[in-house]
Amino acid sequence: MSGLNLVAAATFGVFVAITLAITWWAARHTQSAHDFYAAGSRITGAQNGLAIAGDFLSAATFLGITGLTYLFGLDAVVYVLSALTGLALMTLLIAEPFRRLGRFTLSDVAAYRLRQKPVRAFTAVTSLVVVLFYLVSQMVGAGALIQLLSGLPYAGAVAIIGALMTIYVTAGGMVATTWVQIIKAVLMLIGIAVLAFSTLQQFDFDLLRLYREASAAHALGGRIFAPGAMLDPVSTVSLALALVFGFVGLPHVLMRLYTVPDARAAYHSMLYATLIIGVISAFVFFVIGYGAIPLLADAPGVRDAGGKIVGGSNMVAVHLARVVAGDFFLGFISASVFATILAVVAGLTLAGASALSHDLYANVLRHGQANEQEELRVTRGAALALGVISILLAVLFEKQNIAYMASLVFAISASANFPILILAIYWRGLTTRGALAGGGVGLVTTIALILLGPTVWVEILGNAKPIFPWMYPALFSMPAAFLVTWLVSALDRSPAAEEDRRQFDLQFQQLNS
Amino acid sequence: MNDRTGAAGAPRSGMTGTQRLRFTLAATLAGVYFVLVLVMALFPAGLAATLDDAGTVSVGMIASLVMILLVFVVMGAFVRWIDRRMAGRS
Repeated sequence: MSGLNLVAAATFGVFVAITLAITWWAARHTQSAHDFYAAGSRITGAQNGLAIAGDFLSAATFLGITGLTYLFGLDAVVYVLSALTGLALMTLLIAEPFRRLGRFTLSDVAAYRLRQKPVRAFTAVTSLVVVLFYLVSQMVGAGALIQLLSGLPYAGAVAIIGALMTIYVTAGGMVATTWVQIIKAVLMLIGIAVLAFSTLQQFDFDLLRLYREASAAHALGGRIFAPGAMLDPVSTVSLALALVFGFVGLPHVLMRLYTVPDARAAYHSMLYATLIIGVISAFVFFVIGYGAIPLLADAPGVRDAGGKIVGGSNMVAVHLARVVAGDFFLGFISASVFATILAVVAGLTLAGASALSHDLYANVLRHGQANEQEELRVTRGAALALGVISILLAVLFEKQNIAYMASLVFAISASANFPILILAIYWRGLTTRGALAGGGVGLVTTIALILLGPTVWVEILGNAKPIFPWMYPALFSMPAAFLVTWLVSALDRSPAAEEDRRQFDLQFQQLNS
Repeated sequence: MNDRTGAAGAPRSGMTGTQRLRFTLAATLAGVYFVLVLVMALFPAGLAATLDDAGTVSVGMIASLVMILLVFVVMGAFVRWIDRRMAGRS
C-alpha cells in the first residue's frame, strides 16, 4: 500500500486543479471583508448544508468511526449519535440567532450584548486554541495517512497540505473554502455510497447475514452488538458530552452560518447538514464498520506479521475499499481522504485567521478603527502565519497521540465556547464577569484535567498513576464552567452588570424584530 | 407577537414561545440521547440482550437506530410546523 496509486494521484490532481481554478475565480470576486469572511452571504442553504456536512466528514470521522466500529462494535455509535444530537441542538438553538446577531466570527455573537473587548479577546483566544489543536491533529494524521497511501515523505505531505490550504484561504477566502468543502463532500458521499453498496453486495444485500458473519469473525463475538468494550462509564458520558456540546461551539462550523443570506437559510442549511450526516453516519456505522469485520478477516495484505491491521485501525475503510471494489476504487477513496483533509484544514485556517484579524486586531487592538483593506491584509498574513506554524507543529508532533489532541478540541469547545455562546443568546442574567470567569474555569479545568489524566500524565510523562483517573474531562469541566458563570453573574451587582442585562433586552428586540 | 414583553414593554423572560418550544425539543432530544448513553455506560448487559435467534440484533442496535430516526422525525416535524407558521404570517 505504500506505493503510489495512479488513480489516487490522478483523482487528487484533478481535485487540486479544479479547486485552484475556483480559488482563482473566487479571488477575482472577493472585494470586501464580507466577501472574504462570509462569501458575501451568497451561498444557498443546500450548498451550505453540504459544506457543513463536509466539515463534519473529516478524515477522522470517516476513517475513525469505521475503525472504532471494526474494533469495538456498538460503542462507536456514541460518535455517530453525539454528532447528530449536536447538530440538532445547533439547528434548534443556535443557527437562527447566531446568523441574526453576528457578522463574521463566533466572537461577534458572544460579545454582542457584553463588553466587547474582554469577551471578544477571550472567545478569540479560545477559538484560536481550538483551531490550532484541531489543525495540528488533522495535519499530523494527514501526513501519516498520505505517507502510507502514496509513499510521499511525511514532511513533504504535510508541506503540500499546508501550502494548498494557505493558497485557498489567502486568495479565495470563504468562497474558495466553501466550494472546496462542497466538492470534497460530494466526493465523500459518492465514495461512501459505493463502499456501502459494494460491502452489502458481498452479503447479497442481507444485513442480518452481514451481522451474523461479523459476530462469528470478531474476537468479541456477539459482544460487538453490546456496549462497554471501549470505555468505562464515566469516560463514555464525558466523551458524549464533549462531542455533543463541543460540536456546537466549533468556530469553523459556526462561521459557515454567515455564508447564507438570512437566518432562515442558516436554519435550513443545518437541516440539510443533519440529513446528510445522519444518512452517511448510519451507512458508515451499520454497514461499512460492521461489514469490514468479516470481509477483512482473511483478506490478503490487510494484516502485518503480528496480525495487526496495516496502518492501524484508521485504515480499515481504506483496506475495505480495495477488498470490495479493487485498486481503482482504493485510489478514489484515498483521493477523497486527501481532499477531505485539505478542505477541513482550509476551513480551520480561515476561522483562525478571522479570530486573529477581525477579533483581536481590528476590534481589540485597533478599537474597531481598522479599515476593511487593512483588516483583510492582516487576515491574509494571519492565514500565512497559521499555515507555517501548523506545518512546523505537525512536523514537531509527528509521533504524538493525535486522537488526544482532537479530544482536547471538543472538550475545550464544550467547556469554554459553548457556555458563553448559549448563555449570551438566551440568559438575561449573564454578565461580562460571569462569562469570563466561567469560560476561564472551563478552559483551565479542561487543560488541567487532560494534563493530569492517564494519556498525558502516565503515557507521555511516564508517571505510575494518573491524578485524574478518566480519559475525558468534559463531564467535570463543562458543569464547572456553567456553575461559575451562573454564580459570578448572579453575584455581580456592578453598574456594568446592569448594563449587560439592559443590552440583553436590546438584543432580544433585535432577535425578534 | 412578542410574548416575552410585559405590560410596560419590559422583557419578562429570556424566550419567546417559539424559542421555548425549540428549547423543549432540544432538551427532549438531548435527554433521550443522554439516557441512552447512561444506559450504555451503566447497564451494558441490558443493551446486549439479543432480539433474534441468531443473536445478531441487540436492543442496543435497535435503540441506536431509533435514536437516529428520532432526530430526523422530530426535526422534520418541527420544520413543517415552522414552515406552516411562517406561511400563515406572510
